[in-house]
Amino acid sequence: MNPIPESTSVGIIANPYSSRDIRRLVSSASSIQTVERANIVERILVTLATFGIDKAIMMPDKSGLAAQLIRNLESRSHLNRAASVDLEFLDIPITSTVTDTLIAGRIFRERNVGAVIVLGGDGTHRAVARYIGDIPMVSISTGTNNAFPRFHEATLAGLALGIYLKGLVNTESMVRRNKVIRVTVNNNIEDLALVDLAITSDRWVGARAVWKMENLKELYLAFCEPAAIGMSSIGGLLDPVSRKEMSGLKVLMADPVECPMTLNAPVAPGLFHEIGILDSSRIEIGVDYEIESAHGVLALDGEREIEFSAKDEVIVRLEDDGPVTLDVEATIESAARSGVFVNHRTAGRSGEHKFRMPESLCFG
Amino acid sequence: MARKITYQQAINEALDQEMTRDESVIVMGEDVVGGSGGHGEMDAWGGVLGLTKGLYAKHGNRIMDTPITESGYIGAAVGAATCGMRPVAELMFIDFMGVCLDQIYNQAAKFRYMFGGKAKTPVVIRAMYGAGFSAAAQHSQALYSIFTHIPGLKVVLPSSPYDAKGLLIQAIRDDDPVIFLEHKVLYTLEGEVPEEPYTVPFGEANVVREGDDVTIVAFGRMVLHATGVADKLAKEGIKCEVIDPRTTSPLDDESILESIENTGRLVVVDESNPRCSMASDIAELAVTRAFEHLKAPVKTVTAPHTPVPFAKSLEDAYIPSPEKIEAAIRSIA
Amino acid sequence: MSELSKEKLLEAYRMMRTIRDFEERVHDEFAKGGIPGFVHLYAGEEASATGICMHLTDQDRIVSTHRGHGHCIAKGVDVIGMMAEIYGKQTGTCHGKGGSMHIADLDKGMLGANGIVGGGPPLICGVGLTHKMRGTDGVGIAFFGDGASNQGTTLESMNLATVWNLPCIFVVENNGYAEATSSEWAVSCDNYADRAAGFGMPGTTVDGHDFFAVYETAGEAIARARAGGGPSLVEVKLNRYFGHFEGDAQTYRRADEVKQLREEKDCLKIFRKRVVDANLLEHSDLDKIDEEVAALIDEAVQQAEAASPPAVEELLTHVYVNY
Repeated sequence: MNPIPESTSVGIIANPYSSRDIRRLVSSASSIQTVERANIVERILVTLATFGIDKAIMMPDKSGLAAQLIRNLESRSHLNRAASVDLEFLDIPITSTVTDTLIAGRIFRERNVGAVIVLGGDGTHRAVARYIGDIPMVSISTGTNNAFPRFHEATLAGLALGIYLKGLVNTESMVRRNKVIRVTVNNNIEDLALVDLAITSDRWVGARAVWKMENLKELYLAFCEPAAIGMSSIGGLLDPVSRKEMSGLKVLMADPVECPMTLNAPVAPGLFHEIGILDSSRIEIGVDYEIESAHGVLALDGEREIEFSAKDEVIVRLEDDGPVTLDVEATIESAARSGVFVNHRTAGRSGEHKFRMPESLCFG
Repeated sequence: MARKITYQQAINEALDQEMTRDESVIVMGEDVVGGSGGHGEMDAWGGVLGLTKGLYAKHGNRIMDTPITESGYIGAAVGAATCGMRPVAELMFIDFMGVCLDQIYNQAAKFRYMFGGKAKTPVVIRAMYGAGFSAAAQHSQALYSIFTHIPGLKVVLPSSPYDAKGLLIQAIRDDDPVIFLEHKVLYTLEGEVPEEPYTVPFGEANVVREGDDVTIVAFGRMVLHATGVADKLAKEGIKCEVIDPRTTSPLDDESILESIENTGRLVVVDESNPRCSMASDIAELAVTRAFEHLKAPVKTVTAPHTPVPFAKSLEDAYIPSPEKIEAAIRSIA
Repeated sequence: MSELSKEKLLEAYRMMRTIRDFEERVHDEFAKGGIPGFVHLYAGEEASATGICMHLTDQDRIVSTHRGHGHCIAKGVDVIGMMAEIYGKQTGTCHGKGGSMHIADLDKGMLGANGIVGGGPPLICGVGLTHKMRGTDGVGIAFFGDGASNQGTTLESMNLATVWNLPCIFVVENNGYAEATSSEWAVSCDNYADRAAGFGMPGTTVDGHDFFAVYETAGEAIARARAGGGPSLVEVKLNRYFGHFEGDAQTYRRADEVKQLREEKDCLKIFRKRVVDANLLEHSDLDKIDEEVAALIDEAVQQAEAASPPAVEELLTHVYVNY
C-alpha cells in the first residue's frame, strides 16, 4: 500500500438512519440527532479546509442531513471555513435504503477519492466496505453498535485524514487492513460482515436489528474484543480475538437450559442477555464453513439482511483482505513525533515548518 | 340545608360533590393543584385564584396539573370524554381559547354529528371571563357569543352562587360538551346555596324580577346590574321584568318572547362587544318573532367595539354600567 | 416472528389488499363522478396501518387523519358501511353525515379520521389518560403525517404524553409530501425520530413498505406502552400512490416517481414474495384472498350506489345528545 494517496479529494458517507432502529424502543440505545450528524460533517470540513483540501463529495439523502448541512454552511461562513470546501452531492437516485450507501461507495471507488469518511455504526461501515476496494475509511461512530469504528472526535478524524492525504507522515502504520467475513448463498448472493455474522431463527429480516437473543443460533466473528458492545461481546467475553490475529471465532448457541455453559453478555447498548453456549471454536483464514441452521436469517454486523431456507446453501469464509482503515491515533501520534505541528520561530521571521495551524484553529 | 357561600365556593363544592359521586369525573388544568414537580407543597395554589383548593387532598390524582399546553390538555379532555370519562378542564381565562379552539369547535362540538350520532363527548371546559379587574385586553373578554354560535356546544353563564353550583353539576352530568363561563368579578359574591347536590336545568331562564313595563334580558354579571336598576326603577313605578337566560345555548327563547309579548319593550344588557353578540341575537329574536307586540324600539346596552382597556377610567367606561342601563330603560319606558 | 401464524399472515395480507382495492376503486369511482367531496387516498401506505393495527384490540383506540380509510379498515370498521359513507348514504358508517374525512366507529376503537391536520394527537392523550386512570392495559395510537408533524398540537401532545407517562404511540407516516410541499423542505429535521428525543421519548424509524418491519417495531412500542413504559414515536417512511386529494395532478412529483414506487415499493408485492419464498403461504392462498376482496369491494360499491341518501330530517339530528 502506498501511504501517500494519489487523490486528495474526500468522500463522505453519513448514514442518516443509523441509530434509529427498534433498539431505541427495547433497550434505550443512543440516537445521534440529524443536527449533530450535520455538525460532525461540518467539523470535518473545517479541518480539511485547514489542510487546503478543497474537494469533498458526499452521499445525498432525503432525511434532512444534507439539508441541515447546507443550512449550516450557508449560515456559518462567518464562523469557520467549512464552506470553503467545494462540497458536491452525488447525483444518484435516493432510495433512503442501504442501496444509497452501496452506490456511493462504488462511485467513490470509480472516482478514486483519497479516503472515505464514514458516519455510522458497524452496519454502515459494512455497507461502505462492500464496494470501496482499498480506499481507506475514516470512521466516526454514530451507530448503535460501534465495535468496528473506534470513537474519535470528528475534528481529530479530520486531522488524521489531512495528515494522511497531504502525505505529511510517510508511514505504513497509518492505514490498516482488516479481516472480513464473506458469506455466499448458493454461490451467487455474496455479502460481507466486518465484525459479526449472526444466524438467527427469525423468518424475516423484519425490523432488521437483531435484538431477540433467544433467536440467536450461530455467530461467526472476524474479531471480538472483550470491551465491545453488540453480539461480538459474546465471543469477546468467551475467547477474545484481536483485530490483528489471523483467525476468527465461531460460536454455537441454544436455549441456556440445553447448554453446558452460559454467559451474560452486553449484546446491545443497555441489553444484557444470558446466552447459552453449545460450543465455540476458532475459524481459520480462507476456509469454507458450512452453516448449521436449516433456515433462518443471516444478520450481518447486527442487521438482518438475508432470509434463507433449507434449499439454500450458505457458506461462510474468514478472509484477510478486508477494507482498509485509517488509524487516527497512530497517524496523529506519528505526525506529532515527527514534529509536524510545531512551528520553530527564530528572531524576526518564522522558521521552516511542515504544517502550520491557521489562526482560526489555534486555541486561546 | 342552604347557607351562604360564595360563587367560588359553590363551584368548588360542585366539583367536589361530583368527583365524590362519580369516579369518571376528573379535573385538569394549569395549576388547578399547583405545585406538581416542585419542592414545596402540593395544592400550593389550588387554581390561580384558589378555586379548586382542597380537591387534591380529597381526590388525589383525579385532579391534575397540566403543563401550559392548552391545545394539548383541552384535546386530552375531549379525547377522554369520548372514552367515557367526564373531564372538567379549566382553561383559566376565556381569552386563552384562541390557542386551543380547534379542539373545541372542530373536534368536541362536531363528533356526534360527524359520526352519525355514535359519539358522546361529556366534557366541561370552565373558564373565567369578563372585565372589571384591570386585567386588560387579553384577560378580560366576554366571548360567550363565539361559542354560542357553534352547533354542538352548550354555553352556560351562571350569575349567582346558587346557579353556579346547580348549573355546574348539570354540566358535568350532561352528555354534551359544555363551555362553563364564570365571571371573575362574581367569585366573591355570596348567596344561599343548598349543601346537597342539585342541578339547574339548561335552557330554562330565571325570571329574577317580574314586571309588566319593560323586559330586561341580561347575561352573567349584567344580571346583577339589571336587577339593581330594576329595583331602583320599581320605586318610581317602572316595573321591569329581569330575565337571566342562564344558558345562551340552549336558549330559553320562549320565556323571553313571553315576557316581550307582555311588556312590549325590550332592553338587552350584554357585557361583550356589540357585533354578532347576544345583544344583537336577542334583538333579532324580538323583531322576527314578537314584532307585533313591540311598543318601542329594542334597546341594547353593550361594551363598545373596542378591546378591553387597562386604565380604570377607560375600563369603567367600557363595561355596561347601571347608569347606561337605566338610561336605556327610561328612553323607552 | 414465530408469533405470526399462517392465519395472521393471511389476515395481514387480506387487510392490506382490502385497503389497496378499496382505495383504487374509490379513485376510479371518484373520477367517474360517483363520489362527492374531498377524498384523500391511502394506497401505497397499507403496511403501516396494518402492521400497527394488527397488534390492537377494540379497547385500543386510534385517531387518524384526512387520509384515514386505511386506518379505518385496519381497525376493523365495516367496509360496506365505509363505502356507503363515502358516497354520502344513509347506510354509511356515519349515516352520510361525516363523509370520507370523518369516518369513525368508536365501538371498534376508531376515534375518527380527522379533517384538521394535527387535530388527532391531543385527543389520543385523552385516550391514554383514560386507560391509565382506569388501570387497563389499553393504548392509544395517533396516526399523523409529516404535515401534522409540524403542528403545535402534535408537539404539545408528545410533551403532555411524556409528562403524564401515557400509553400513547405517536406514528408519523412520512410520505414525503404535506399536500404539495416536500417534507425535506418543510420539516426542519426530516428525520422525525429526532424530535422524540426532545421530548424524552424513544424515537425510531421504520420502512413503511415492509409489513414485517412495521409489525415488529410497532409490537415493541405497543408492548412498552401496555407495560407502563410510556409514549414513543415511530416514524414510518412510506409513499402514497395518489395525490394529496383526488384530482391532484401531482406535478410537484418527478414524472415517473409513482410508477417506480408501484414497481419497487409495493408492500403487497414485497409481502407476497417474502411469505411465498419462505414456504409459509402459497400463491394460491393469496390469489384466493385477492378474489374475495375484489368481490367485497364490488359488493360495497353496488350497495353504496343503491342505498338511499339520508332523509332531510337527518339534517337536524345528532347535534346534541339532549338540547
